Amino acid sequence: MNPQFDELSRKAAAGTLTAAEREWLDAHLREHPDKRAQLEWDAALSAKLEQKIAAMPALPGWERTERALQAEQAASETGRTARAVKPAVVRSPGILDRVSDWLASSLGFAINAQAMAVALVLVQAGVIGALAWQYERDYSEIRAGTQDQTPRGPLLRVSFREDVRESELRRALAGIGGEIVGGPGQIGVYLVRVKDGDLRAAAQRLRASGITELVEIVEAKR
Amino acid sequence: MNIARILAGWAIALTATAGAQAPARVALLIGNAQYADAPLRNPLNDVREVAASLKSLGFAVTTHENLKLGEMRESLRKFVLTTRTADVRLVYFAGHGLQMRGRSYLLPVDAKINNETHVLERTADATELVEQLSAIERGANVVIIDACRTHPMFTSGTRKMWAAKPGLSKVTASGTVVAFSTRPGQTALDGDGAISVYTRHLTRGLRQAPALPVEEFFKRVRAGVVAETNNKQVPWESSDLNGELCFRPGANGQCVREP
Repeated sequence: MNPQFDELSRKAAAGTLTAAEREWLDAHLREHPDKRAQLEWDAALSAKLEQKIAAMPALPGWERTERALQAEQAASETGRTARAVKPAVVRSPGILDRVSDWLASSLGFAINAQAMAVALVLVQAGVIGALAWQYERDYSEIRAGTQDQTPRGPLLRVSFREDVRESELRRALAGIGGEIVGGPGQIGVYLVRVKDGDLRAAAQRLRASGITELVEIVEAKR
Repeated sequence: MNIARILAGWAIALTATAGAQAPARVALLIGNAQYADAPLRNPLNDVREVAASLKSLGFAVTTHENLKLGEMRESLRKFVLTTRTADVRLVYFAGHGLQMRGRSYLLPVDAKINNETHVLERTADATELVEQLSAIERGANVVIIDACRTHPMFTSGTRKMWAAKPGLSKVTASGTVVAFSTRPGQTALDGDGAISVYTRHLTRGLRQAPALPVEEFFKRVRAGVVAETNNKQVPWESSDLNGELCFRPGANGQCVREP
């Protein structure tokens, strides 16, 4: 890798070498004939890029698009005028036309393809509307046992006094080896699982702590 | 099935007759009418009428009117936590309600609901109330919700509320009777009179046939509402009681099927 050669090779491809640079480059190629391949590659790449750039239109994107649209519109108007004079261009039938033809042959009378499309849209709108109406009128049935999703017993159902601080609550739970596994909702009831130990003794300790309004044992089978 | 619960259920009527433990039958009644954007005419009259009927049947009644969010949640919380030894717990709500993703929500008078998040943040969760009542081992629960009136939020055209719908969601719960003033997902009529159509038939039933088993009782209420509204409003109820329950047992201490 010779940075100076790399740079001068690109300049040579672009045709911007000075006399001194040309002299240096020639001397370098004489010493390193294998570098000539790189020089030729840079020249070829440069030529390709120039071709691409020349092929791109001079107008910026939006203006180009606008002109293209104008040209397309003009062509379309010309086409319409021409069709008014000449017979319509024959085109292959679309899927609606083919369905329409099939229905016409089956039913014995012609059905307009556009009318059929409109009817299809109306039917779809009707179905969607009916479903939406049904949804608005719907309700869900739940059992009060949505608490089924919460852990089953044996647990403690606990409500703490409103003025209890979180630190007191945590200390009380830590004291009985308790872990909150459910609640509280608006009623303020927690479900507490006691990891190891006697649930009744834990309930007794919580009651004795004076920070609870409710302590109940929730048996395993509810 | 929990044996203790069954025995407790069967004992309801007897305990009520003996009146041994007070309060054996407790009721929390909430009537919300003064909604800023959708006031209702009847809920306060409704709740007073129901309160009078239940008191005459021996219920210990707590009545609240026009509760804001915090007050409403606190009243429900206290009721759930302090009535665990009662034989019968009854909650009655008259006001606006809605459903979202299978859960029912009751609106406090200060509820400004513009999107789904507001539903969760600014309402009282009726489904959780039923769940928590149902989790109480002792006694039976009756939850009556006359809260399916159409709120203008559903006709305002907003799509932010796409999951929230008028009416309430079906809910069934062990040891609990849930009664709606109309079918789940449908809206109820506030009525032309001083009290709602549903509450009028409910209180009439409480006066005339309190000894009917609750299932039969609510069927009669339904028939009355259906007849009066020409089938426009059809009340709905679900009972999952383990024993027999009536609002006031007959002379023999039992519920009476055909008074």
